[in-house]
Amino acid sequence: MSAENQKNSNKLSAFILGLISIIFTIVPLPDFLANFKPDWTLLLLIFLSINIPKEFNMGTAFILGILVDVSQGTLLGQHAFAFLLVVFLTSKLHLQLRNYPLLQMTAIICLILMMYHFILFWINGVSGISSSIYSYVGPVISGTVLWPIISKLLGTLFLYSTSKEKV
Amino acid sequence: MVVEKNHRPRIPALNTKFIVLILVSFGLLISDQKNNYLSILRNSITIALHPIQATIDFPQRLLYWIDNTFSERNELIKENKILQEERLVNLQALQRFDSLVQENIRLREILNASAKLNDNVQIARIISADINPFRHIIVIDKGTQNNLYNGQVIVDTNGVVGQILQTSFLSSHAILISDTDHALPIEVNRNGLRTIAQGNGSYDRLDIPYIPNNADIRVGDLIVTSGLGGKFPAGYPVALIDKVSRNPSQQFAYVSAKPTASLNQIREVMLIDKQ
Repeated sequence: MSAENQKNSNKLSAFILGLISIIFTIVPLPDFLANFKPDWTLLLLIFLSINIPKEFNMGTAFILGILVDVSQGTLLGQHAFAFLLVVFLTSKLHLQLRNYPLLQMTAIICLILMMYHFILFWINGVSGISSSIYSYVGPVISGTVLWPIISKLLGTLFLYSTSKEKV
Repeated sequence: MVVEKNHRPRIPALNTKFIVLILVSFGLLISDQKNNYLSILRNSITIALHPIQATIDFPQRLLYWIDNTFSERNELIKENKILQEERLVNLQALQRFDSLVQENIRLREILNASAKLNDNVQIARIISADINPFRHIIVIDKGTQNNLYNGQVIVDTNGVVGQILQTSFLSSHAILISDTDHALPIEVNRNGLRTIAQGNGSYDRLDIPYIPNNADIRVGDLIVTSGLGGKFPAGYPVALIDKVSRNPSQQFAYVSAKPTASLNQIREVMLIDKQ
């Protein structure tokens, strides 16, 4: 497959997955799971920026962030801001991150999710919105638990220009 | 020596892009918090996202429809009977209401006050969508298309639910009275004691923070909207006082109330048009 074809197919998958992740974000969960809703969009972004950082980086993060902001009615730019910081970190470290064993990588993802929720917490605090601590801690836990599955699943959907061994 | 053609850095211009976009989103954050410049941008994206919300809502609607269509005959008869009885009780109450309205208008004429008892009402459905996890915000299926406006008051059959926060063409976001950022002017129905009720982030409690220790307020008192502030029309039930604890060492009594509307179970709401 030529490089151009590969890029297009990746773009299509990313577009569809982006839509699905936003749908998953809006779908209501039963009450006992409501605080544990993972940040689907962020997990997708982390995957993309670790594995295909050339094609998906800041621009993707910004657009998805604005979409999440509008669909959730948060301050415009709140999620975009947090997404950008996370993607900056993960795409800077992508060469190390993608070679880590799964367990170690999951631990790093947990830290990244904590950082992300701290940023949201901070922006909420500055703009005077208070919320229970569970709405910040829950997604970190569920995101960490789901990361190995998500990264394996997404790995089958995208085509990498360089194999792991070569980079 | 081999010189590589088309050599590009691994991630082109990452830093510049990052700095530009982070500044843009920071700018968005500040301008969105301080004022309403961005409502056009937000509205147009909301319209683009509307199909997604409608898709998510569809299965629940379908279930509801199936439930309605295929329910048992005797269940329907039972429901019909209950509704008939309710209607009779309501009619009886309405008989007195009519004469009370007349009396009220007469009294208001004596006082030279303007009488406005009938409000226009529209009914809207809540779209089952999980919005902002940090706040109590719902989406309803009517928007500027149906002449909704920001600040319009929402009630259900039992009491005040909230007010509209943002309208877009096809749908609107509304804030519930239980949101931590929401407060509404109220009065105690029994004696007209005026104060405000604040949401505290849980669906079944409102805080009433500024009640002096010696104020006449009891468990079981109904609180209604006072109409002060001009946003909420007067006289709609809001909550029942369920806890009063007076501590002489504190400046104010601790008072909390339970909203009469079941805020997390409503399916349909009514919008009161004051304009």
